[in-house]
Amino acid sequence: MAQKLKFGNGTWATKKGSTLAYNDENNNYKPLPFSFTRDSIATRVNKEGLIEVVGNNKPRIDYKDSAEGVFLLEKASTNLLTHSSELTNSSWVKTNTGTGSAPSITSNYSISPDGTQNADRVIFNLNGGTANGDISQVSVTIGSVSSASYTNSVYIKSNTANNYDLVVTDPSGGHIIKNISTEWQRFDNPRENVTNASFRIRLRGDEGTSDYADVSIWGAQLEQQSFVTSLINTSGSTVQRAADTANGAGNSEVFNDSEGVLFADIAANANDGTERELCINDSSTSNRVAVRYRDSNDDIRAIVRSSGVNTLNVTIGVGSVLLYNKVALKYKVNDFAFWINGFEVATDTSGAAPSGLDVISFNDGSSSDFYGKTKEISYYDEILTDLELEYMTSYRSLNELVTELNLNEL
Amino acid sequence: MANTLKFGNGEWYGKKDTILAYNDENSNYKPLPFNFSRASKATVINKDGLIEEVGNGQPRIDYKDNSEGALLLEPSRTNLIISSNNLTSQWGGYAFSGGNMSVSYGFLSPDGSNNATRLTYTNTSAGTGGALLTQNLNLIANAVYTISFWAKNVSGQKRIRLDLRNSSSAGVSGTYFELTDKWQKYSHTVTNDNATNRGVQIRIIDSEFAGNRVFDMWGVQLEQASYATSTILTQGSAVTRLAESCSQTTPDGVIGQTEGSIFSEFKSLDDVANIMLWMRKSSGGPYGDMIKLECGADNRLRFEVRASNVTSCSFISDVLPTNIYYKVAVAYKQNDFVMYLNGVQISVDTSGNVPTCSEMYVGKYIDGGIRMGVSKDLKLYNTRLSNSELAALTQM
Repeated sequence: MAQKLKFGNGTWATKKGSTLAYNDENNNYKPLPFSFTRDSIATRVNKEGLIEVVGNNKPRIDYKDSAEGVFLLEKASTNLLTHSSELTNSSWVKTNTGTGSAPSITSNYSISPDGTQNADRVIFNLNGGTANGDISQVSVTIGSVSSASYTNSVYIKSNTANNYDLVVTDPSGGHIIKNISTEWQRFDNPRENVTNASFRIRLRGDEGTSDYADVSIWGAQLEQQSFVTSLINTSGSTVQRAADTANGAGNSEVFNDSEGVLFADIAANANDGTERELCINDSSTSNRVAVRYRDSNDDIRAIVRSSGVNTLNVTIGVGSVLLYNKVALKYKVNDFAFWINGFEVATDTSGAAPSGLDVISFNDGSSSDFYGKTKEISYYDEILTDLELEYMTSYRSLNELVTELNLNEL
Repeated sequence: MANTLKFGNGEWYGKKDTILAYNDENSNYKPLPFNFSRASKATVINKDGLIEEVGNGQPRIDYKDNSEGALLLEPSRTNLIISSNNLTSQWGGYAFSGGNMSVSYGFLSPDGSNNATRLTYTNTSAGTGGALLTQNLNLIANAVYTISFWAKNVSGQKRIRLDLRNSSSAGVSGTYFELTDKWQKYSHTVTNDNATNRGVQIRIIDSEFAGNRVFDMWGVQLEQASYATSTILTQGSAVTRLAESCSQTTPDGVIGQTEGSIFSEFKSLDDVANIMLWMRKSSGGPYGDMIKLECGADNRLRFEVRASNVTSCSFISDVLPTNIYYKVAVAYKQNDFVMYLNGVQISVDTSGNVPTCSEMYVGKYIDGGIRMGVSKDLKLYNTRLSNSELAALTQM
């Protein structure tokens, strides 16, 4: 089988404006880079597990989910909190009512998830109070917003050997208890139909929290999204992280119009109600070999489109698009198949092959940008056997399967 | 034989919202994850034998009875007791006729931390005194409730009694429990009388079982139900553990569409239906096309197959002794249905059709009703195993 394009699978090379895919046939290495844009800085988890800021137009290889790294693409988002890690700032209101004490805050007390000593210590105390009016709280109120989904998120850890039960509210003020351990954890609370947005961290007498908590807090974020995105640091004003785009890898010599296989090992960032596509195309939407996250939850669609007509168009439900799914789309005149995680989930024995394929993009050739995490992309310029497709889209051992899907958390 | 799905058997993997089943035919490992949901925290006995609280959406592998673990699925329940561990808070009591009782908090509990309550009862008038400790609640008249709690005897007389009464001792008698020197969970089901101002009362009555006694309690629970479920911890207010569900839409080839076999190692539970597996077509209603294997609330094993709204087979076993594990295997094929239990063939049917199915559920009725599931092992085959294979598979 002739593998014409490789991307990822633990081999990453990036620079400003570019991330490398390549061809290595006959040990001749040929660059096939994606053009990359993001008109802002952004953060990622680096190989050392630390949160790191990367510059404008710098692709992000994120190591949160995988020791091998994944290529992270996100939509634009804005942190509406003006001081994400400075809880001494007056934008964070310290409240004490009833028996509760006003939270005591020490700046730059502990090492934060970015590896520097910039996390604030916050001591909450109810002093034994058990009533609704007994409160010890830090909060930011954004106020009235047009009804939409918002998500609160924050990193918290215990400063002592004890775990604490602390409330982190959702953006509408719904109280959700979080168990704070001695390790940094990121907690996120999405909420639909928010009309009055706020962010509160507290102990309260009647909410089942601990009576006392000595914790470090860092990286608070309130964004107009139905899910949490990567951290956007703020210090004095709201900050927007611009959308990532990656397009334009390959050329007409790489892609075979007559037959081929597109393989991808990918996970969505969320079921966000939008269409998100990865495809080989003819620099338009008319001819495509595409895999696409649907606007419906946990559905993946395979499309082969020839001269503006879909010759294969199937939508397959998967367990979760948030898990990595290995997908392979085979195309040839009157011979199409879609494989997911080792199973052939769709076939079609009639239809034309696409033409003019000359590029692979993290969109549909025009829009429907792909936002998600990519471990690997491969392209073959001839069809593969069922045995090869089964092998390619499955794992070599149970241990590999569990590790790759991060399922070792029970 | 083509084993198309494996689930459990000591290999439990997952994370929030997901628990893994898989296929490993031809040494190609393919994930077949079940979508799991529970919109609340819950407790489970972990590998170390300690009760552990797990977060929303986290599947529970319960190690209560075995070192390999079993998937635990439960219906929604509310612990009406508002202070389950600290009986010095929200509970009130008194001693009488020479009895004396002290209640103190902060002793080692089944979760491994110091949050159990110690009750120390002494009397100066043996045989006549007593003490009561009560949490008053607002219950439903004539409804069925189950009291459960963890306790261990520290010293002295081992018997205590728990009733459905208020602090005036009006209400319904429960039962006596004989504690041991190890932490154990006890439960008793009782029907309320026609009043609502009832609660849980811990009673020590010297005239019934005389003697000083010291015992520790933790995880006191009152559920409006006919059986006890896993401990729901409370601290200041009643807490609801929400229902769990576990299901998946299955790729073609996993569920045998013309023939197949199912194996399960399961536990028969007191008064609770345990749905080991329910497969159905994605359309046409829950009962039109389905293959269901369960142990009913009457502790009879049931295997039911329906195709196009017609029953193809309906096997019902004798009543099984409860709270022990069994191995069952069933096979289905056109005009060929069979069930084996612990190595023995117990049912055969030689007529009936096979439905096409694409979805599978564990521990849940498809019509929305949630039942309990305790599955140690589940395997699916897309072929009708031979009778000798079924016998061997279920051999204990």
